[in-house]
Amino acid sequence: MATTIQSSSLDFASIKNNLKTYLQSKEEFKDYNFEASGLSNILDVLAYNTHLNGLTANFALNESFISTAQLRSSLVQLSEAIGYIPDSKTASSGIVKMAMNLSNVVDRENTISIATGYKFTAKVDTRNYTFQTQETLTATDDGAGYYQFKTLDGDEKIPVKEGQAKVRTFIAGDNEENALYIIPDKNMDINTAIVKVFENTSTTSFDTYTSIEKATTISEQSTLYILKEMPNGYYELSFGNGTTLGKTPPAGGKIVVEYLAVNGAAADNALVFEPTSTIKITENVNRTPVVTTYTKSVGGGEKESIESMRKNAPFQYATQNRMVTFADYESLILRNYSTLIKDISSWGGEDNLKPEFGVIFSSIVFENGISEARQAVTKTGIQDLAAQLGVATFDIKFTDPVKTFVETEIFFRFNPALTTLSVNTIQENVRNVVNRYFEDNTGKFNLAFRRSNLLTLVDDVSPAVLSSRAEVKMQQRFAPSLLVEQDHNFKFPVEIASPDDVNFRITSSTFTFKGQSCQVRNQLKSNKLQVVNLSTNKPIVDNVGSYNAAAGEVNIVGLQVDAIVGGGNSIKLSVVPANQSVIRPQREYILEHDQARSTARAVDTDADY
Amino acid sequence: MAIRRALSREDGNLDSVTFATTANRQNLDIDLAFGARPTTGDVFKKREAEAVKQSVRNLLTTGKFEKPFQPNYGAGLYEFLFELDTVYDGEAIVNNVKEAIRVYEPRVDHKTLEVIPRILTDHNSLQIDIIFRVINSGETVELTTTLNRLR
Repeated sequence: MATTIQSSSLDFASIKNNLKTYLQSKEEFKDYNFEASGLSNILDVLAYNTHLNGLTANFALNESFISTAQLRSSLVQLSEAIGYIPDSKTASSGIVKMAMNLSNVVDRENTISIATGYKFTAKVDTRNYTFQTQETLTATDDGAGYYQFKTLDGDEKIPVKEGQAKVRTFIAGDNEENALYIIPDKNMDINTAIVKVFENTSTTSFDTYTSIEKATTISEQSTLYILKEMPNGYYELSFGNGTTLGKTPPAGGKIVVEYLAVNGAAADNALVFEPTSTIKITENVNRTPVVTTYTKSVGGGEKESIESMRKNAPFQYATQNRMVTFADYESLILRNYSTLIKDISSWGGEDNLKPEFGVIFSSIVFENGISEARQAVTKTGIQDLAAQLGVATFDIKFTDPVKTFVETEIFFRFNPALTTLSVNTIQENVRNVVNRYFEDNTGKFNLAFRRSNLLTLVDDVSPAVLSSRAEVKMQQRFAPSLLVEQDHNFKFPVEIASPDDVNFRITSSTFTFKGQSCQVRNQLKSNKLQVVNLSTNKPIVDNVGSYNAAAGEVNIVGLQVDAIVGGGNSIKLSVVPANQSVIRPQREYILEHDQARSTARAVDTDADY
Repeated sequence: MAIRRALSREDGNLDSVTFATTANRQNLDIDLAFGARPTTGDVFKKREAEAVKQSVRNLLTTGKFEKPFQPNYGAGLYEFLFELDTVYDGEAIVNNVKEAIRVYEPRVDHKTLEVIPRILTDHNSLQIDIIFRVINSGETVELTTTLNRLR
C-alpha cells in the first residue's frame, strides 16, 4: 500500500481550533468555545470548507504521482506517461494434442487443415468456457489413415486460449486527425490482438501491424500500433505519425482488430477440452478430432493491479525496453510472463558463486499449477526475448529456486497474573504470530529473516509476555535412495556457526541404518560429520563428510539410509547459522518456515517486568 | 469581586494573599439574523442571556448527524415530527432537550432547567417551553419553540 502525501492539515478539529485561536486574540466575540453558539456554527462552516479544500488538494496531489495514486485510472495514466502499458486481462491457455483416424474413409485427402479459431468447450467448476486455437493446423496422412495435427511450426502441442473472438472495424481518418480508435471492451486480452490495415474498404489485401512493445527498431516504414488501456478501462488503438514513428493507415483505409474477450483466471484449471464442431473430411464425411489434454489451462489473469503497476512501471521505464542489467531482465521477463511467474530473481554471472562472465542467471518461481512442460516452453520464450532485447550478447541460464527452511525455538517469560488467558492460549497466540511473520516476510526472493522483528511481535502478543528469545536454525532437505550409499551436498545462504564443545551445529532428522535409529550430526569441536546411534549416543559411522562453516556448505559422503523414521521421503538437515539475528537469502535462495520443527514455550515467572 | 484573607505564620509566614472567588465572563455572540447596525454597518451582536438563548435555540433546531464531525450534537427534535400523537412521548422530548443542553450548553444552570412540551392539537403543532437561569448573570430565560407542519 502506498503512503500518501499530506500537503495540509486535514483534521477538522485542529482547523477549527486554529480559527478559535485567532478569535481569542480579538475582543469582538467571546462565545466561540460553546458548541451551540452562533459563532461556533460559523466556525463549523469555515472549518468544514477548509477541510474540504484540504482534502481536495491532497487527493489531487496524491493522484499526481505513481507512488501515491490510489485510483486505477490515475495509475494507468501515470504509467502510460512513462511508456508502461499495464497488463490487460489475460486469456487462460492450455495445450492439447489433436488427431484423427480416417483409416476407414475412402478418397481421403493427404492433408487436412483446420482454420484458426477452432473451438472447444471446457468446464471449470460448474461453468463452461470456450477455448480456441490461434493458428491454422495441418495434419498429414501417415499412410494408414492416421492424422496428427500440428502447428505452423510443426509442433504437435497445440495451444488453445480461452475467450470469445471479437472483431472491431474502423475507417481511418485523415492523417492530420491523430485518430485514436476506441475499443469499448474491458475484457480484451491485448496480447491476442491482431491488427490488420487495408488500403481501402474494397481490397482484400492487408498489412498486419505489430505491437510497438515488440519493436526493436522504428522507422517511417515500420508497421506498428499502440494498444493501451484508457482511464475508463476501455482500450485505445493508435498508430505512428507516418514519418519517424512508423506508418499511419491511409485516409479511408480499413482497420480491423481481432482479439479475444476473456474471463481471465476464472478459466484456469480446465482439464478436458471438447471440440464443438466437426471437420469436413470429404463431401459426405465429417469427423470430430480426438483431443487429448497435454497441459491444463493456466495463466489466465485479471487486469494488472494498481500495486503491480506502482512497482513495475518505474522499473520498466528504467529498462527502456532493453536488457542490459540484471534488473532489466527481471523487469522485462515479468512484463511478458507475469501471469505465469510468481517471483523472479536475476543476477549477473560475475556475482554467481562460481563466477561465469557473459551470463545472466535467472531463478523463477512459477505460479501453482504450471506444468513442467509449460515451464520449459516459458523458459525458451524468455531466451528468445533476451535474444531480441539484449544489448550485449549474454547467455541466460536458469537455476531452480533453493528453499531454505527456518526453524525457530521461541522461549518467552510469562507472568500469568497479568492476563486472564491460559498459558496454552498464549503459546498458541505466539505460534500464530510467528507463522504470520513468516507468511508476510518470507517466501519470495530477497526477503530476509530478522529475529529482532519476530521477537518484537512476540512481545506484543500480551502484556503477560515480559520478554522473549529465539534459537534459529536453517534447514534443507534431501530425498535419499534407500539402502544405497549416496553423497549429498548442501549450500546454505549464510555462514554456518563454527564447531564448539557444547552444541551440535549440524543435525539431521531421524532415519534408520542397520536397524538402529540414527541421525547425522557433527562431532563436537569438529566439522566432521558422523552417523550417531540415538539410543547409545555413540557414532556408528565415524566419518560421513564434513561442513565448511565460512562457505555455508555441508557435504555428506557415502551416507546409507535404510528407512526414514516418521514416513515421508526426505530427511531434514538443520544447521545453526553463524549469525542467528538475520538470514538474508541471495540469488536463488528463498526462505520458508518449517512450522513442524518450530516451537514456542512459556517460562513462568512472577516478575512484572 | 475579590476577598482578602490571611494565612497563618505556619503556612509560610504570609500575611495575606488574594484569592479570586468569581470570574466575570462575558457572553458575546454574533447575531445569526445577520442584521446590520445602521450606524456602522457591522453585524449585530447578542449579549449575555440573549447569547445563551440563541445558543439554546440553535441546539434545539439541530438534528443528530447534522453538524460535521459532531454526530451527537443537537436535540434531534425534528425526529419527532410526523409521529402520531397517539405514540407521543413527552418524556423523550424532555430527555433529549435536557441531555443536549447538559452536554453542549454549560452556561445553563441545569438545576433550574425546565422543559415543558405541549401538543397544540388545533394547530397540529408541538410547543416546547424551556425555562432556565444563566449561570454567570443569574438571569432567567424563557424560550418557546414550536414544531409544526409548514403546509
